[in-house]
Amino acid sequence: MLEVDLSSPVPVYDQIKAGLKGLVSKGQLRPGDEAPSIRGLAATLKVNPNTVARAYRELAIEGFLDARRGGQSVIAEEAVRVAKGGLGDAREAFADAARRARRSGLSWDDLSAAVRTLMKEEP
Amino acid sequence: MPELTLAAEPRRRALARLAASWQAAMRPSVLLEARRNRLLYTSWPIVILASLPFSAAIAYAAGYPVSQGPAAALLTWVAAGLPLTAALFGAVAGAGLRGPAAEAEAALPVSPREQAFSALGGAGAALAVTSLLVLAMTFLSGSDGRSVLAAVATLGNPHDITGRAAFAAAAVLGLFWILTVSFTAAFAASHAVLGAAAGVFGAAAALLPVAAGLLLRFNHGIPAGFIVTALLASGLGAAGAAASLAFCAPRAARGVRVRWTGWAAAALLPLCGALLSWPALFTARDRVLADSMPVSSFPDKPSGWSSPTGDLRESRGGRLTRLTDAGELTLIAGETPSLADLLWGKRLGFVGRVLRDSTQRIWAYVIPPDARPRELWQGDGKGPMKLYMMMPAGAHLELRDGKAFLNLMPYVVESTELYPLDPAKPPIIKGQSAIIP
Amino acid sequence: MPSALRLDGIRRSFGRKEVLRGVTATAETGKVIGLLGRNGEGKSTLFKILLDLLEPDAGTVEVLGERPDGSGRLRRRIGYVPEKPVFHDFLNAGEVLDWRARFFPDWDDARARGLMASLKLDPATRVRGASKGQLAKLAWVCATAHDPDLLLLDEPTSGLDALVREEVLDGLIGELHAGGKTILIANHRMEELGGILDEVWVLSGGVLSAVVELERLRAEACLVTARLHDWSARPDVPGAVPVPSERPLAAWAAFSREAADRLAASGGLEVVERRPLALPEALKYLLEDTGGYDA
Repeated sequence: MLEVDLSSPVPVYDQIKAGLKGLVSKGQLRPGDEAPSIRGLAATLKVNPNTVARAYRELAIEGFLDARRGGQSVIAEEAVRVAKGGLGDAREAFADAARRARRSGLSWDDLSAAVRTLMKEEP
Repeated sequence: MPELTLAAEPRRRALARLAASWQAAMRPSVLLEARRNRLLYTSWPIVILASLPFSAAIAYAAGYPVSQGPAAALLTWVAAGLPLTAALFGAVAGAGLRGPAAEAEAALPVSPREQAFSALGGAGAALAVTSLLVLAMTFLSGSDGRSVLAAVATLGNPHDITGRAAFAAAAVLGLFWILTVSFTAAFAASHAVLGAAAGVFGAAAALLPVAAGLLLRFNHGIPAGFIVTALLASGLGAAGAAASLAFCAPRAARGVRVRWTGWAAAALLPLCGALLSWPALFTARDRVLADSMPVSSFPDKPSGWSSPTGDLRESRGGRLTRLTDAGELTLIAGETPSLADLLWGKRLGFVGRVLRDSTQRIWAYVIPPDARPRELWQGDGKGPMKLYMMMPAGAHLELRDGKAFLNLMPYVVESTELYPLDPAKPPIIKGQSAIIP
Repeated sequence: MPSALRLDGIRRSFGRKEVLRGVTATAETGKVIGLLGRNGEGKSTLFKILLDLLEPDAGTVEVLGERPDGSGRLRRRIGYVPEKPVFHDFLNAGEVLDWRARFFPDWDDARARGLMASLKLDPATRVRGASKGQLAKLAWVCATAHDPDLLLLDEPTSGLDALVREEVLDGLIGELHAGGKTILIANHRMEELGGILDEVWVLSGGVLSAVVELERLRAEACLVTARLHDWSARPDVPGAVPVPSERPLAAWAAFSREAADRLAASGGLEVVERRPLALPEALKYLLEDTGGYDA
């Protein structure tokens, strides 16, 4: 499910967008599914509903979400394409983090070990 | 007609707003305040009730009839207990409003003034109920209590309905005064004991003259003037106390910076009734002293059933005066009783027999309140009389053929101890006889 | 739309102690503002002034477009949850609400009952002997049932167990969802509010030493480590506060990219590392910074 790290420097709305895109990429959410309600998602993540609303607005502009009558948003048909495209940002972020870790003194072996540990936690 | 309704509209709306605000906010606050202090308001009457069998037991132990115990206890409650109750209820309610209750009501959209007066209303309602309870018990407790209460209420005169009503009104206003002053002091200082003390001592300072004046009236039946003053004093005092609360409530609660002159003024407002009552007390005393009644002088008109006429008048303390064309002439000064004497009903000297001889010389004796011998005074009526002699016990002043005589054996028909009185030379008493110099 | 709050030079003393020494800030309508400050630094005093329960010695206050006039009418539009909620202890929860309802023209009884149900608070709960969590829930319902435009929350989650804390935060998010409300929260544990806040005001030394936009803090706060050449001349840059470090390295918490850049540009040091600072840490360091700073 969707998770948000409040300590991370990444803006929350960005994390929500990335999180939803990730869910679609993994196939857990499919085009035609109703997006989680703003109120419900905000309550679950303990974030300001305005933040969720902003994420949804931007996702709608990107074509990831369709706004329907009655206020509910729905995963769009092109969502999968948009999500995969969005993965480019995630890749950039990962590279950034790896570079920073290297600068701090981590060796390539340390980095590989870290990734392997992560794979064990979340297959 | 439309103009009239237009002008009446804003006033009607303001009244409607006030009524709505009362309904909406103050009435539940009053009920809540009463409920919050319900332990005090219910236990106090129980204390009063419990004192009755206790006092009956004391009366029995002291040898008095049992019924007098509760009657005395109830009268004490009415006279001293109710003012203390007013101070107690007021102080507890006032200090309570600054304590945890204030926190509980903090974020309510009620102004501090509304809050304060609601709390005061709650305490006042409890006081009213307790007072009625005590009065009812006194009335029902039997003839002793009933008669004293009736006497106090009518100030000794069963036909004085205005006086009775005024007394009751002054008493009610006085109780409200104590309640409000205790409340305001306790509220401003956040301290219940301080508030109660302020109420009690302030009451003594401000209301004592009112009580004293009413007591004067009760003892001596002077005319109604002081009643009006008493009403005004209590009324002004009560209004001043309420104004003081209206001033203090918003400023104390919100920590508004007030110069010490402001607080001083608020402290003095409730005492403005006292300004009236102290001078009025002394005026009442003067009236009592000036109050005189006609005295008959033998042989002009014998006293008894016929009402005395004539120019001689007697005032309290054995003062004899004569009405002349030039005014009132003091013949015998007598002793001027002090205010304390008048209040406590101290026994005073009074003029006994007065007689005029054929030369229009006035002879009178003054009877002192204690066991001292009577004083015989004489004068021509045109100026102050002189002390002639001290009359021996049992002696009598008589008029025979227009001349004044001293009769040392008045119980004997044909007295042998009869001495004519020479204004210049009083006789000297030797044993059972007298010698004329 | 006028600002929800406008404070200008607010001063207040108690006896000799000057608690507020000139607080100036503006809160836009709809914002969620966290008030950060140590105990006894004037948070409660500030709340009382906003609630029209205390008069400031100097300065002007405007709450929801109105000047507080002492009448208390302003409180019809404000919801307040105090740090330690107190109620008349001889009432039960339902009676407290019934009594309060009479004072608010906008009180919605159905909403109040609904809130109680969703918070699992039994109306028959007596105030005397109620647990801290129950009192917190009752305080919440009392503060929100009349649909206020401004919510003032003083430590709404302190001392509550995790479950109740969740419920209170849920309620808070629900209020935000309704929209149009401005919220000022004083909370020790700002981390749990990190997702909800728009702005943080830091009350320190009787003034607002910092007013920070939270998103900017989240994105730009960083820990700057540098080799210092001259330890007697440590640079002092607004927007950055020194933090403990091991010699020969000196470290600062910078609250914006601008401050970090300024630090790097100041002479006498060589920046070794800039790593992002997590929000809870950034807020902690922000509280220690008494230099005065706006971002």
